[in-house]
Amino acid sequence: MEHSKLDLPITPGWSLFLGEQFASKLVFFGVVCFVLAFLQQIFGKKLKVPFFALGCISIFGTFISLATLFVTDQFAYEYIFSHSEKVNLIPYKIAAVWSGQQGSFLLWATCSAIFALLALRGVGEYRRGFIATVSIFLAALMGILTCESPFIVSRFEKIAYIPPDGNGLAPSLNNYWVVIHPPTIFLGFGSLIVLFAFAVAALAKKDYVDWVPRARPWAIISVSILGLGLCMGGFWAYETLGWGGFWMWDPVENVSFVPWVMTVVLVHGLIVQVTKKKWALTNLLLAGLPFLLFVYGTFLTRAGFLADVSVHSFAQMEDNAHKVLLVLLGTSVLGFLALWLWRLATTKGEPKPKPSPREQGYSAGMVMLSLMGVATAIGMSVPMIQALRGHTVKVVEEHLYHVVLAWFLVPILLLMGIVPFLAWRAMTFRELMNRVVNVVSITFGITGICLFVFKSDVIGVSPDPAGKIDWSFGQLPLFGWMMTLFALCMFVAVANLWRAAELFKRSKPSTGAFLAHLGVAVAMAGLIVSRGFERTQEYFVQPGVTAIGTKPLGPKQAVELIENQEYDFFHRDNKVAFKLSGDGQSFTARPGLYYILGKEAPQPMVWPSIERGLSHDMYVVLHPMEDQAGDPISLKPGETKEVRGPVWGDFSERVYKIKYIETVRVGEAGVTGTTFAAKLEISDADGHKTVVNPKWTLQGKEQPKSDAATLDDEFMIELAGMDVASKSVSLALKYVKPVFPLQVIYKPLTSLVWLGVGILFFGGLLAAWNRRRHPNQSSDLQEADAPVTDT
Amino acid sequence: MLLKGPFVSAGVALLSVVGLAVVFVMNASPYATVAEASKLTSNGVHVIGAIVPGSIKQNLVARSLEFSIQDETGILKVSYAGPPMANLQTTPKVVVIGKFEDGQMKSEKMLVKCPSKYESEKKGG
Repeated sequence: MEHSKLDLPITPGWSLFLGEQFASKLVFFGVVCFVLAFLQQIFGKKLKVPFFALGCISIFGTFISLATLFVTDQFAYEYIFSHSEKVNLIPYKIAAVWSGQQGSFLLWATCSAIFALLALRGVGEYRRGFIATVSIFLAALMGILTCESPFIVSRFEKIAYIPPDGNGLAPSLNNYWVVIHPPTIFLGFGSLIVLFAFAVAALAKKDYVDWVPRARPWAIISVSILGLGLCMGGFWAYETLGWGGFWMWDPVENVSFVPWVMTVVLVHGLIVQVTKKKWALTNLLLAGLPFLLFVYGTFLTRAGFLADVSVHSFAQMEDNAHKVLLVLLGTSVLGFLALWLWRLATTKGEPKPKPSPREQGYSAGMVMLSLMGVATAIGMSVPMIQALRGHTVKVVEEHLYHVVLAWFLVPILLLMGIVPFLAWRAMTFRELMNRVVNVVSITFGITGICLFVFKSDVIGVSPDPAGKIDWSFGQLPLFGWMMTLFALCMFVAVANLWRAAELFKRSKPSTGAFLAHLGVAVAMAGLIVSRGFERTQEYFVQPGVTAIGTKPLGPKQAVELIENQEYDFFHRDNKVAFKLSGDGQSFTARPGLYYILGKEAPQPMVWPSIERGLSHDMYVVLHPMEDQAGDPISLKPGETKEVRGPVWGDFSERVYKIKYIETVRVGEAGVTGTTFAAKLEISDADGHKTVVNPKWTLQGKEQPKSDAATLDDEFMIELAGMDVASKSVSLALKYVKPVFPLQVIYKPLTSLVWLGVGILFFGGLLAAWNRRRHPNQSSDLQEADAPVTDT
Repeated sequence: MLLKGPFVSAGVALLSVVGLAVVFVMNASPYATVAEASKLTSNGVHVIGAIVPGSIKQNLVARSLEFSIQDETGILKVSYAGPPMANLQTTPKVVVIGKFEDGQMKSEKMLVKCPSKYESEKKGG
């Protein structure tokens, strides 16, 4: 078979050179550099060439090359064709780099290299072990990219044509968060290698002390950036319909959450080590775990175990790439644990003084947090556990996570409030109570006021009095449980604010840790209230008619379609404006609705519109317009059936009795212009009878043109189908004016989530900065700070 | 003496891991293929599949949403009665959660699969 030459532009030489020649080799060159850097460190060879730096440069070079090819629309590259399109703005074209599997590994490598280089200056005596560890890891990542390259050009008869356009990002990824969330969270993932490499180096060197001040700022930075990335992911999910709100314990979310939790545990462990010179080996284990858990999670999400049980879709990895990942996981986990256990067995223990209350508090909190992380890691591994046992695949649903994790969350919140008041020296229960009593009183006060406000008919959240929530043993009343969690969050917030205020005069930067706790508490309170007390109302809006919701608990708004709008339902930024008023507020919502040309019929795509406010968010979703008032009915000649149509203006219902008399054909069958009319006798509720003739007109090869017959100001009747054999017709009751189905969801205090995340990030950075300035300062609360005489 | 502490910790850690694993595995919801789903009678069965093109019959006014999903083992009719779903047509796969009754899957909860950044499956052409 002969192909004619394609009428398409040919990929320019520079593009083929940059990707296929240069960048592909650069990836391979990177692997070689990192392997040499590893050997150089292991054998202590003093070669003049800094292979590690060369390797990092090759990663950055690869990334820049790929981004350049994306920005210049080089669709001959399969990876670029699958993930980008011309219409994308430059930031989205760059974001498309990491929207696929190869690109996300490249992003991971890039972020890891950035952090490794940044941390390298301060690694001191740990240099050898540090560089060796990072090198072998980056060699593995680049190895994965050599097996599964983004630089493969698809050719037709040996010519690399440029296809007219690429496939583009998936419609739901077309959102500004795709530009900022992945780089942030991957920076967080990248930072984990620094902690892991420090731990390996310290274990190898048997120096378990000096690494702590060096690694501590990086641990805090990991917690902050990873935390920020997680929150951004939550915001993205919140703004995307059908992604389950901020958090739904999806495997992809868990894969990021678990390392974050373990890094938080590490940060607390380091405080104790600095202050009390204890827990040195525990902390080394903790420093390695976040990285190992992330590699495990990456393996899990790409090993196929979750392919069918996650809301996310995963592509299978190329076989060799997958093996490299498996080897990386196996060697890092086994190697690290073996090294750690060996050091544990051969390190002589020293007699330990009795732990102080503060230490006990920290260890309790760390155990609870670790359990939370471990539980989540186990939950997300259930599909794999089942597969390995050869049993039916099972998945842990969101509510099961809530039921299990609540057992850890409640003690964690309690400890977050109490531990800041515990002293590093012995302290009686009475002393503690004297310190905490004010905080507890204020907490009760705030919770009481909130209870009053939430229950208020005017400004309250109208909680569902019959609402229940699953618990390990039966069910709990929803409102009571939500208020308990809310009160705990308030306790944490007040306690940490109190401690921050006490410390503020002495050392402002030292308040960072307390601010971070405050941020967590505020964000948690926002998540709890906004999810627990959310209420939904549905509206059916017709042009010129004010729609009112019917659910007693839903938000009470009057909704109108704003008239004389210009729509372009095939443009991805199409919005439809509605005016919502009621509950003392009035605003214009512009939910997005547009259609993508599909293979068969246009496919609707919906983006919610969120009216943000301090007291609550209004989340407005427009579903595709509807003109049918019910399911079609089928009638035989002479048969009578009743149809009912809801009238949305006044919530009444119109009932019509339809008698099908006969079908009248005008013209020759199969000829354009011939009409088929269904003769119907319609009786309304008052018994008035009319005869109408909805009809079809044949249009050659195209679908017949349908003319509905108008019944009154509200409804018309359409011929939906004809069956020649049984002589029956199918009829549909339709609205004269289209119906816009609108979902309005009231989410109270969502603003707290944003506020809390802001405080958390600010507090985290402040703490990291403080640790960098005073790396050896004993703790956020110094010995001297422990209360001695404030009883 | 030295190893006593670590051994106790290791034991407790192991017990909690096993305990948590048992709790999760016992209470997790099963995933079934289309062929398996029609044989299960329990609630909360998850079936994942691609929506059969053109099978969606959605009428928000009448509160009805019916469609079929398919996987390698067959096609399953779904009758959905939960909150309105959007973007069904553009989603590669859905997870239908419910109970098999009267020859179809009766569902009140459904998940829309996110076409994740990790997916490199080609769409369309």
